[in-house]
Amino acid sequence: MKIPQAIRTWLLLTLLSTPVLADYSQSELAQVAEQTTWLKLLKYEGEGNSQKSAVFSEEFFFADNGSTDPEAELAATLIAFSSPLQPAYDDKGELLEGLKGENVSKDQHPQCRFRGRYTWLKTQFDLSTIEEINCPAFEEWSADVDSISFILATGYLNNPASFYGHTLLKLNTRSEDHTSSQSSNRLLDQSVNYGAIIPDGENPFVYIVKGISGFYEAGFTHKEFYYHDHNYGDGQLRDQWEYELNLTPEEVQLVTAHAWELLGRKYDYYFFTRNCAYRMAELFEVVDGVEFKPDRTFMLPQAFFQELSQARHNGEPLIREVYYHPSKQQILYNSYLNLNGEQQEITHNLIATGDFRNNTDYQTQPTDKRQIITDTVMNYYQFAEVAVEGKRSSYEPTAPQYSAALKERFRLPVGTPELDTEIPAAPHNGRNPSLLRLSGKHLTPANKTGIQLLVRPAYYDALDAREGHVKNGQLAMGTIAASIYDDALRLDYFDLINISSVNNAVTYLPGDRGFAWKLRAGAIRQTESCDHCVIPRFSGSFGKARALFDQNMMIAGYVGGALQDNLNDAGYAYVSAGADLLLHLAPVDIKLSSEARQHIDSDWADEYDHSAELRFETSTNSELRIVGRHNRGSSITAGYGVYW
Amino acid sequence: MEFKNFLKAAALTAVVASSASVNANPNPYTECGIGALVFNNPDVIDDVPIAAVISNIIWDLGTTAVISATATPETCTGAAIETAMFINDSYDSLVEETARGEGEHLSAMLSMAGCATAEQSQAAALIRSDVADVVTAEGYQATTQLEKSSAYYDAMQRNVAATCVNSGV
Repeated sequence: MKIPQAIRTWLLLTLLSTPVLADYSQSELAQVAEQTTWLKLLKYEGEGNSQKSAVFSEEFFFADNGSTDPEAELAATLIAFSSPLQPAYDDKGELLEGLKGENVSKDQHPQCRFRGRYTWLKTQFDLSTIEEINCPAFEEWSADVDSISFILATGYLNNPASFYGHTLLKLNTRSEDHTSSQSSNRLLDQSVNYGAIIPDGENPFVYIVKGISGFYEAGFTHKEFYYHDHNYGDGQLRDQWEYELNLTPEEVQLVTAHAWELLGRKYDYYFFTRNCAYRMAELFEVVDGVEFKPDRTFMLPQAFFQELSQARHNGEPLIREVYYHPSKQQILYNSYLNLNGEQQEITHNLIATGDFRNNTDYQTQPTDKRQIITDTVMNYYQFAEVAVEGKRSSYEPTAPQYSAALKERFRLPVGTPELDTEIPAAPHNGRNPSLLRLSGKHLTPANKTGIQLLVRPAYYDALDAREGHVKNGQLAMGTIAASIYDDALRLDYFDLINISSVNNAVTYLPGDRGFAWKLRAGAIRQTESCDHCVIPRFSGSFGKARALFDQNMMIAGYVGGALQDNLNDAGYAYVSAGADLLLHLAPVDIKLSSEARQHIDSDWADEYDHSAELRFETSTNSELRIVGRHNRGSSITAGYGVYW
Repeated sequence: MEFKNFLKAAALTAVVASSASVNANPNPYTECGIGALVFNNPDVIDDVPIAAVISNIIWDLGTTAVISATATPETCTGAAIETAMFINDSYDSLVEETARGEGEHLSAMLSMAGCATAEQSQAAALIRSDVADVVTAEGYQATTQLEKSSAYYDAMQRNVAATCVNSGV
């Protein structure tokens, strides 16, 4: 509700008569309240009369109308900062005394609860008349923080919420010369996470619908980074990329203090727009001169990191350093690929038997190779615990073979041999996430020629999967392709979702044998030659894939089926079998696909769908693509695409 | 638990108990009341539903609640409980790095327990020696992760107390 100007002025004048505000003129207050940084600290969104804080926790505001009136909130904040310390009570209402009571009292003081506001307001006003409170909890939380990083956990196709990756903030204590007894260690750094608050056991489909529609509350939480490192790297086999920011100590202090005051505050959550990447960017925007307004209707984590990597701040690149933290899967591959064929065979044997003592081939290896082999056996079981379906205990670290490897490692000398490790290209080097392609299209035997426009808001397909994507995989959402001919505009297809998940096997051990699946839902033209024949279809398949030549070639076979509309007596379902061949010969990528379909309870005969697709990468953010398809009619499409 | 496994577990417990008896400070898993509260499900992280992993709320509040409910300055310090939780959460990585004699998790744990950088290498070597006895003892494989973590904690605590000037455990 907007308060009338006259009442607003009266309220402000009343407030201004309070001792602390008497130090500042109304124009001073008004000037500071209009500043962008103050609005950012309050998380204001919108413009003019419609501006309102995105935070809806009442305790985030001191003024009753603080969520809509920045000037009233500023005045109330200054008064709150000058308030005396209040006694602290425990949960039973009993007075807390001694050092604990004193500390709790300080931690509950507005200066401590709103440390970001206090830090910034000190730069705007002379607060010398206000007694400064030291804040034990905040000081402990932020002790030794000397830089800030954003973490990108790469995408994860087994959970819809994680398709596009996840963004975290990490408060680094990298300095080696600080005076505390603790040495710096990234695992112990505090990390700040933003996510939806979801009931236990929520149905995944309900989760998707509510997540997209804004029916969940969300908030910031904090935890030592090792929790997330374990969760993403070990539990979900996702690589993590860390981008350390080039900020001044004062800027680091402000972001840290602002993160502190946001912990536990409630927001509405929107999966595509007001998500983790958006809120992290917004948190960071309190730094003067930093603007990360999304230039699209959705906010993808990778796009945020691309923007970060291109930004300059204080006349220098905003990113100071990029670090790679491999997943358990990548750690397994790294150690495995540092072994020759014979040693890999020994490793397979030891994974099967766990008999280190009696394996003479193993025992005759040099010490460093025995160390790598033993580490690889342990790495495998860590990986298999996640990757082998069905949580079978024989593929977990409780397996006797794992225990045998662990015992063997204790018998071997200490030390970790240096491995030749290939670090993948960082996600910020990748292309932009959305595709717009304009093509010429010709249909036979209809002998029609037209123009096709394809828009794919996100994210990648098997031919343009690059940095931060699953190689040979596909994740496309909201793709629409339509063609204009002399006589009509025709929808070729609309993919609500089109996913292809492949495991690019390296070891061919259980759990790493190239299991693959596809899922596609949307609307599609029944054949290339038909008119008025767009139908809804939901299809899925699973199979095996094998990557060869350093993953630059992949062959895959699938079986599956689909549910669809029965238009033209095509039947409500079909079963299918198909195969894909992928080749990556930079800058050219090729995909050949073939699928045989048998329609159930239908007048249609068996159907065959063949396609050949060639992509030529003309630059990081552009491509030429030729697609030929045959299915009761043929089409050929050739066009130029740009990524945005 | 089958009788044979019970005997193995009892034997391991005896190994742990004999080494724990020299410690002045309590083992948080058994003596601070957090074993049943926090670690009743040894795979707590892996079993957290997708939703909870995303929100991180449950874990976060859980940690806070445990520390405020059980920690007292005289017995179970915050450092002791935090180190115990870290060991349980990171057990597989930690025990592997202990076997290698080095690693990020090992260093993090020692920092958490109050070991300065210069003291860590000696502490790690001593812990390695003791944990090797635990890992190679009959019945190790049959024990739960909580029991393994508890045994590891004892080995860590004993050697950190002996090696690190500012030991917090």
